[in-house]
Amino acid sequence: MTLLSSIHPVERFLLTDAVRSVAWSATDRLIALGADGRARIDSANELTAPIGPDPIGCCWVTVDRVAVVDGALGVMVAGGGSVDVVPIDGALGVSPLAVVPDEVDGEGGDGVTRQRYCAAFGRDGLTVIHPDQDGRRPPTTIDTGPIRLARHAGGAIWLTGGADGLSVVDVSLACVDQRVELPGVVSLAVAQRVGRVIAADSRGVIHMLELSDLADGYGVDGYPDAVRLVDIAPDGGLFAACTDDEVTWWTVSDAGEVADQPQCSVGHDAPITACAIGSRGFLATGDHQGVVRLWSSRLRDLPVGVLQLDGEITVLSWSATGDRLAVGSTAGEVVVAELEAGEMV
Amino acid sequence: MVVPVTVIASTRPAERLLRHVDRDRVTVVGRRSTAHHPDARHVVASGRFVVSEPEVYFRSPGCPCCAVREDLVDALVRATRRAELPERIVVFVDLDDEDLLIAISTILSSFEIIRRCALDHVVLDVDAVELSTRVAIGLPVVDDRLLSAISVADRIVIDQQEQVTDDARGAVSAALLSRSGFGSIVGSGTPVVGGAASTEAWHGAPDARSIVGDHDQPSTIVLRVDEPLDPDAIDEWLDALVTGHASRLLRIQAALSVAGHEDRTCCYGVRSFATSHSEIEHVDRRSTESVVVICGIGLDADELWTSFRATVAT
Repeated sequence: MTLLSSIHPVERFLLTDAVRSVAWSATDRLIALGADGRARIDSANELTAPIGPDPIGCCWVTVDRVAVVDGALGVMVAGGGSVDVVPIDGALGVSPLAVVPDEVDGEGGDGVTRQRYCAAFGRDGLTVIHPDQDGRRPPTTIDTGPIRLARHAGGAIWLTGGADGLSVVDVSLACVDQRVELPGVVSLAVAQRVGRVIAADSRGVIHMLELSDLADGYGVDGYPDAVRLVDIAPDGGLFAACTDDEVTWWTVSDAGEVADQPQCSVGHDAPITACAIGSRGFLATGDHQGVVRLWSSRLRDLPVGVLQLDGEITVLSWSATGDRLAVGSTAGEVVVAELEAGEMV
Repeated sequence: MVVPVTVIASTRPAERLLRHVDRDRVTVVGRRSTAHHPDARHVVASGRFVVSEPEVYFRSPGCPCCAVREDLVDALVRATRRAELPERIVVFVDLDDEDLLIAISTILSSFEIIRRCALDHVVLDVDAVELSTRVAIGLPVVDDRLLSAISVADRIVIDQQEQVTDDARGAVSAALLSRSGFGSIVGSGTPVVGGAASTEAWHGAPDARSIVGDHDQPSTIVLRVDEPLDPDAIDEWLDALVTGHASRLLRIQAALSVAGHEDRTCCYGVRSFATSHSEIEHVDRRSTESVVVICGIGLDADELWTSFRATVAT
């Protein structure tokens, strides 16, 4: 058996502070945001001016506009020569709506899907921002209670996590559709295509739930502490959890059945600080010493690729196609690597 | 590198605490409202203010022993994920609506935090005018908001001392010290953050004194023996102490000389969380004396002394 998958750096550049967040647009544009608030977009030679004093995260909201969430200021939507500030108290994150059916924003009807809004989340709940409405449509906040995590689950549905557990939020109706009580959600991932949810709680239990029936889930326990790094493949066929230096992943059948035995590997020599599964099924993990390893679910004990950066790995983000991986570190280094997936021979 | 953390607790508006943070490489963790105050402008503009709105997660519903300040985990990770690490991090705790012990136990126990930061000391900031006014109108100097903070603080800063009479200042100081087993009082002009102010107060043998509180008030009990302790017996004793008192245990700190170990073992914690390491990791001090300081509510000093004495190796 030979696996010829490999990963090659194709671009490397430096920010002026640690990399806080990286985000791909639907058209493969990249923004890298530094801890000093300066960002680099695509291959521009210059960084932006500081967007905020306490940047937390960023995302693309239209093909040419980005949103940056800042602890002190709220959400800034920038691009096209303007910056709009949405002052949200206690904002913690911002996520794009990758694909929006027209009925959500009430326009069109031509069957074309577009990016139309982003959702910021934090102490006040989920705030829907319409960045391309030129102020005609003010942000609306859905009172979900305080939330620390939010993931888009497809269509108008969002999953949110907080101290009281999980909530399913319907943005089109501006209401909480369902709640699942858990003792504090510390990490959350959603496979949009199949409506599968991975949520880790503060007791160290990882829950796999189906959006169609949140009451009936699968639990993985035995972790002594909360698992802060989880992810699931976009097709829902693989999910992974990282604690300390160990990577563990589980395969899931089309019927939603989790394999009896997890694939487990002592993956790193230092604590793992980031993980992400791309749409081609590869898992990337990064650690405190700047090592990035690429794992195939078909090969349990050996990474199929390794990258080395300076500083702790802070972010890992796959492009929508799963062909490119953006990596950031505390030294401000950003590496874009291309995946070449091999075949079983 | 592990960044030292100073926790400054107060019932006063947090912007009044910014005067403690005048060094360039100190990062502040505080609320958004504080970040927007004009006095915070220089800290925020230099990217050294991390906003953190308190959010408590419970592993068991409502149990303070199992509580974690999830926002603090995120904030301290964010503060230390920088190209240039801060020299120190200062965490502001508003005693009006935050639980100081949950903040401390989060810093001591979170795996994400302890590989990046270490609790250095806890400062309580009080206002001489406010407290002396309480004395003047016949109220107790220390109210419920301050009680646990006074009990666990390493330093107590009395601000605006120049605004009150010597007698009032003396009365306030005496009232605070009568409740504080660990703390020393420092004047408002004394720097409490950074440089020479670094104390590693939660490591090593505690410099503490016994305080006897009423039945529902915190007491501080200091136990000392100068004979080696039996390793199994002292382990059992500590387990029983922590599990038996749980949420009533406000702070424990010890340096234990255990038979068969060259260096003393340091233990420290709050409520039902305690951790330990070799004293040599922090302090190059050779002593054969074992010191345990326990601060809590409803402690039986005689029973604790008898059971602790029984752990001496025979």
